[in-house]
Amino acid sequence: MSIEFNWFLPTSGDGRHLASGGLPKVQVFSDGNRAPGIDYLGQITRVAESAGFHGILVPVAAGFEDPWLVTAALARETSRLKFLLTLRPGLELPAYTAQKLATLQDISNQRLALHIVTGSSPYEQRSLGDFLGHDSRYERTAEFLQIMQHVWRGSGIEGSQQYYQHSFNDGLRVPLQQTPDIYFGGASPIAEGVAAQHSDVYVMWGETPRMIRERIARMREFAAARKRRLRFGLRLHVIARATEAQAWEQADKLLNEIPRDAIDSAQRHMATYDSVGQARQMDFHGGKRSGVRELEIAPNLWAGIGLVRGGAGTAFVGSYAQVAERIAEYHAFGIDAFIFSGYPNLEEAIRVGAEVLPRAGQALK
Amino acid sequence: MRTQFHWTLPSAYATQPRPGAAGLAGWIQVAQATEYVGFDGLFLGGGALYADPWTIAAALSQYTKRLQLLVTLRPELILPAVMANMAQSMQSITGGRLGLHMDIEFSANEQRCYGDFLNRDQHQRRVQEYLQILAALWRPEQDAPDLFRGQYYQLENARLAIQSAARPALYLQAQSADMLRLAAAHMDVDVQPATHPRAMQAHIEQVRSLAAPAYQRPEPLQFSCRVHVITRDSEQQAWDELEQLLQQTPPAPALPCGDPMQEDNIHHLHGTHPARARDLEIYPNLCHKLQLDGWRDMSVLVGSYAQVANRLEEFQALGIRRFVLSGSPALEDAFRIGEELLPRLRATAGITA
Repeated sequence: MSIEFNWFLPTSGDGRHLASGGLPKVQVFSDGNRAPGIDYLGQITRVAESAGFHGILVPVAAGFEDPWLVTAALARETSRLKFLLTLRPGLELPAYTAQKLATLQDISNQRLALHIVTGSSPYEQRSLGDFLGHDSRYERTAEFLQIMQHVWRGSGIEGSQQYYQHSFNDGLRVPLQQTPDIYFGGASPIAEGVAAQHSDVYVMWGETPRMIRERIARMREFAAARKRRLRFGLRLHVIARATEAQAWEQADKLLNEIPRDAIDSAQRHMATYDSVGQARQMDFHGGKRSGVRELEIAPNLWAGIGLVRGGAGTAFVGSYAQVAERIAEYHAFGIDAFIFSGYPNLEEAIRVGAEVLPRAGQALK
Repeated sequence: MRTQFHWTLPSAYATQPRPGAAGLAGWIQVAQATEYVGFDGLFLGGGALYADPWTIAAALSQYTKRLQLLVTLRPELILPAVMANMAQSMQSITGGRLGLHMDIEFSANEQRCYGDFLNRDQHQRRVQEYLQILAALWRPEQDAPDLFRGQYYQLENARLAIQSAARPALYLQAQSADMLRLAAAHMDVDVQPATHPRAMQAHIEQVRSLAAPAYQRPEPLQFSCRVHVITRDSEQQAWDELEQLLQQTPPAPALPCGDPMQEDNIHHLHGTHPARARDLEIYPNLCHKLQLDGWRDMSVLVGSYAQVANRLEEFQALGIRRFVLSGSPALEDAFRIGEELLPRLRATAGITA
């Protein structure tokens, strides 16, 4: 079984520091920050393709450039690379999103996958006009996905119509040559149920082997009970160098240049999220900046990033060979898609593509 | 104020492109031609009958440098704060070239396609809330509260995430008196289909009287009109062209919804057209409510280059300062109108401005 390696498009900005991109916005460095102009994002996209990645994840969050527009602008920069387009259901009518996707599938030559997320910050959701609570948002996501499948395929269960009134007879139909694979992020029980029913690839942030094995086992049962098969993906950062010592030196540098109050402020912000996955990431470090190796929660799995960054907060840290071994290890218990990122994303895509991916291929044999 | 001329992208699903000119490749050609011959912008239709204009405009932004991109949207499709953020992102990506054309009139058919079943009154109240939220987000100097609790929309912590980009110009097309009243308070550019100049004048006057500003406009309200153009060296050639279009078996409108769309008073080409194309003329060189080549409810100017230029100058004299023109085939006619009409119009616009 081969592994799918994906990279990440930093549509809120990039740079050399942990605080350079992502949310919450921690403005502590004036140097080494790269604005997410479409030209720079195009460079990263081209690099990801030439470095050998299968696809690139385009994220969504407040202040990030719109992932659909960025993908439409950049699709033609590449010919092979897939775009894992993040979508937060609930902010548009599903028939419209399905229609947009059909236009974008045409433009990109059928190179889209969808990455479904359901919102982690009530503050942010409300600033967009969405007042549903956590569980209701997931119920709505399930309905949303059903309707989109119907618009594309004309099939799909005419299930509950609690959030939408799409007409399965008179509604919009935009047949797709190829429906996109659905990647799905969400760690709560209700999220797991929706993923088991509607997704193709269940994506988890980088957690310890024991935690991941447990989740994969549970999700396999849920999927089997619904007569479905799931693949599994892992989303985390990478700090890989020629030697183990150099890699940890880099992690240490990234961590120790962040002022204490920036960490506290980021932690306070993330505590307002209603995301189970976010809470799990925060448990790894407990808001404390310890020595760099103390944040190593499993061999070569480091939780320091989550001190200032919401979302994916862990990284593989180690020599190229060690990171390749970790990839093979996670692959052995079920992960066959990785979504990596680094600091900065352009140079690290080149490095990981050149040094880690071939070794991972070797480690599988 | 310099008159602006925009061309129209043929992005309706029903448009039959030439082989090899389908999809984005064909659209890029039209966009580049439009920019090359000197149009100010490119208009993209939206709704159930069109490929998504936001997607196409974002893609085309990478193949053009100056061209404004006028994107159509119906309000029920996207939450207002989400749309405003999307527009800001488009402004970043395009370097400030987005124009937003909102199609706000009630349309049961269009709305049903997307799963929206509000009636006319409900839709109107929803549009009002939508425009109020856009105003709060786009004109924060107006002291709007960052909390909104409407019947259709709620918002908290309302503030645009990407602050640096200038907001897009808002084009609104409304016909009914109630919608016009709403639109007049918010729009930057009024849009109407070309029709008899007396009717166009009446519309302009009505909008001016309604546009008692709720806020200090940074720029005066602009008036625009949309018209399809069939123009040749000679008058006869142009009318022959229209005649030929009317004779052709039209493609069935590619309606991606279950129910056929019924519109009143549109001269469908499925057998109920008059004997001669000239019988459709409601004013010299002007026909209206035609369905052509997958476009519905089009106004059409038909005549020689000189005649069509004269009509457009007449409209300009009424106060129209932006024209959204279309032609078919879009690529060749972009060159035709760009080379035969625009120089003439820009010369006289310079004199009358």
